[in-house]
Amino acid sequence: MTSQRTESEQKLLGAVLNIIIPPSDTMPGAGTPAILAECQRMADGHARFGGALAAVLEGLGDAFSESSPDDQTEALRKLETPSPAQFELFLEVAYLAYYSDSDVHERIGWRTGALQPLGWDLPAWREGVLDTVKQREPFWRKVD
Amino acid sequence: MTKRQSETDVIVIGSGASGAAVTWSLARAGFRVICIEQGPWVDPSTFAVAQDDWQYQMRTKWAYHPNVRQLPADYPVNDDDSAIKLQMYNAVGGSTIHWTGHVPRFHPSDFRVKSLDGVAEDWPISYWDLESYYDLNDEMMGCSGISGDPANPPRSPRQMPPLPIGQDGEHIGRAFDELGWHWWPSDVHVNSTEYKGRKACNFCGPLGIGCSRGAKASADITYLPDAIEAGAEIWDNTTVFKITTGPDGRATGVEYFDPEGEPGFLSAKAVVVGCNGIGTPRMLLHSASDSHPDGLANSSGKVGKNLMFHVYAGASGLFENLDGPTYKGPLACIIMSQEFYETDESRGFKRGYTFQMGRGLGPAPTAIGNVPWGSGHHDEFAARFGKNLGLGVIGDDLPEEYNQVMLDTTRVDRFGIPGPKVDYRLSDNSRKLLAHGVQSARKVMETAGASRVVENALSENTGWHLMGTARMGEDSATSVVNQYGQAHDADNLFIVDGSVFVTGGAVNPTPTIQAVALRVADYIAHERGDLR
Repeated sequence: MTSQRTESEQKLLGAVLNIIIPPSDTMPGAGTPAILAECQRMADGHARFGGALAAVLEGLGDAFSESSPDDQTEALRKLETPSPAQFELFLEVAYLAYYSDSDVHERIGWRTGALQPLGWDLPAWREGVLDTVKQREPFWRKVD
Repeated sequence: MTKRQSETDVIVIGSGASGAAVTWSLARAGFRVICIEQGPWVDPSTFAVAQDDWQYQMRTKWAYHPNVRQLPADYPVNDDDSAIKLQMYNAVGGSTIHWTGHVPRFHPSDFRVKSLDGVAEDWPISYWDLESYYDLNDEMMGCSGISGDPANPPRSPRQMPPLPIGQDGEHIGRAFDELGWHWWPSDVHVNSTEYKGRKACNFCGPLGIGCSRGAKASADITYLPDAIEAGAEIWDNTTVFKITTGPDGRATGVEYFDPEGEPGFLSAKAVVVGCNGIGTPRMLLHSASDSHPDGLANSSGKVGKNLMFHVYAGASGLFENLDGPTYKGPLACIIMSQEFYETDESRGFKRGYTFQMGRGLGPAPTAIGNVPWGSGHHDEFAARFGKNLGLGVIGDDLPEEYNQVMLDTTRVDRFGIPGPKVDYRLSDNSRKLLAHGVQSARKVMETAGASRVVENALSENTGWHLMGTARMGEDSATSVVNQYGQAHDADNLFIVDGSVFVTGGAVNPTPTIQAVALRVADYIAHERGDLR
């Protein structure tokens, strides 16, 4: 599957993603347009993800988009059970897309963007934390 | 491209932890050294850690497994029949680009396991033979840590104080104290202060996807710049596919593909192999000739045999009441415990293990493999994110002849060279060791007040430490090289990576690999003037 997906394929993928990570009162669903687009970009950029995404979409009919959430969940379970490794790869790219979204980051309290150059702050090293273990005699085996 | 010379004193194959150290040492000793590396120089600004989509890159082009990355320098590996999957990186600097910089040393007992515990074989060298080379390596790479660890021999002061262990590290340390168990800040080749022009770590987290800051030591920014200054050449993007030998069985040079894919030949007085515990047996087996019909230096039949990883397991838990999230700080390189390092017959297994504490990472790594899809997703994610800590068990994996590396003619690299096939299964001893380790890790987690402690009986994607497949020994019938890494079957062929390990210890092997490599280089420099 390439980035040239049809409208119905995009609709199907959006519906699937919203079952995988559904919208809640405080969080967007994974079928949100920006996350859907990112999921497609990530799948197109890596063959293993692309194959997994294609397999999921091919395993579901267009009717999926019109089904009830319970039926959609059931349909995805039926895909997952016989091919857990393939489904896990699909979940991986779905989660990567969702948790790469800046809006999601803001809502979960994660600083978006690259880890460098900012890094994080840690309290300074305190040697006093070793007071207990320092009381122990050496116990390595002494051999020539 | 510039015309390359056709002869030199010493060829070093591989520019990772061991190859870079040997290249530096021999160049300084006045040898003409050419180090050949199949991968490219990697620009630190392109490391995943400096990219907005680092979580995605971590699982694609910065993945640990070469079959996932599929970069041009990667050769395919067949680990379908291995309980532990291979992890490595191919670039100038080798897997030190990708490592976490955790550098505990082997214990003196690790070199004497047969004498002490009646298992495997003793090394032909001791801890004390390597001690000065460990120190030299720390000087080159820069070690952060602190003296006084009662689980290890006294040693020279580290170059820098320990990395801060964070409020989470202190919390787990107190649990060890409560149990009366040993713990100590990890020795790391990550700067806690500025060192040799490289910045101090700012604790961004992963370590394993490159350090764009240069705070984590890797061979490309430590040994190799000094080696080049001393006159060594680094041929990157150049793939050696065969070590050639003469009628007398001695090494004569290497055949390679240059960056344009054109074949070439470089002759030398000596060849040093540092391609890691998988790549080295692959190279030797692919270098069979009339004088070495079963593979180069393989008259013993031990090339590729006795593959060791470390066996990994552990326990993790959630901590609700820490003062901050558990993703701030280096992923590993925090604290370790060697309470169960040495053999205790009452435990039902030989040798032992080290605990290494691990932190959480960003949001996607928190969710993947841990948080279910569907209606419960958000609640479970919220329960875990920033609250997860783990204690890994890294176990001594004793050598077994059935664990081995072979050539796989069905999976070839871009030049048609067979990749390695790995057969590996856990021994009964390793299983018992891990079971004990997991229960002990659970005890620490519970003592620390973790909720929802989860045990991990075996971590599959942990084949970082590649050892044993061209082991050293005094008997040419049962080993491939002698104590100086010199092949029993060719006196101008040397092996310097983890392949030469007789046993694997229960700690990360890189400082020991580098110490062994520096000792081999010293031997060549002082005893083999004929190779100059």
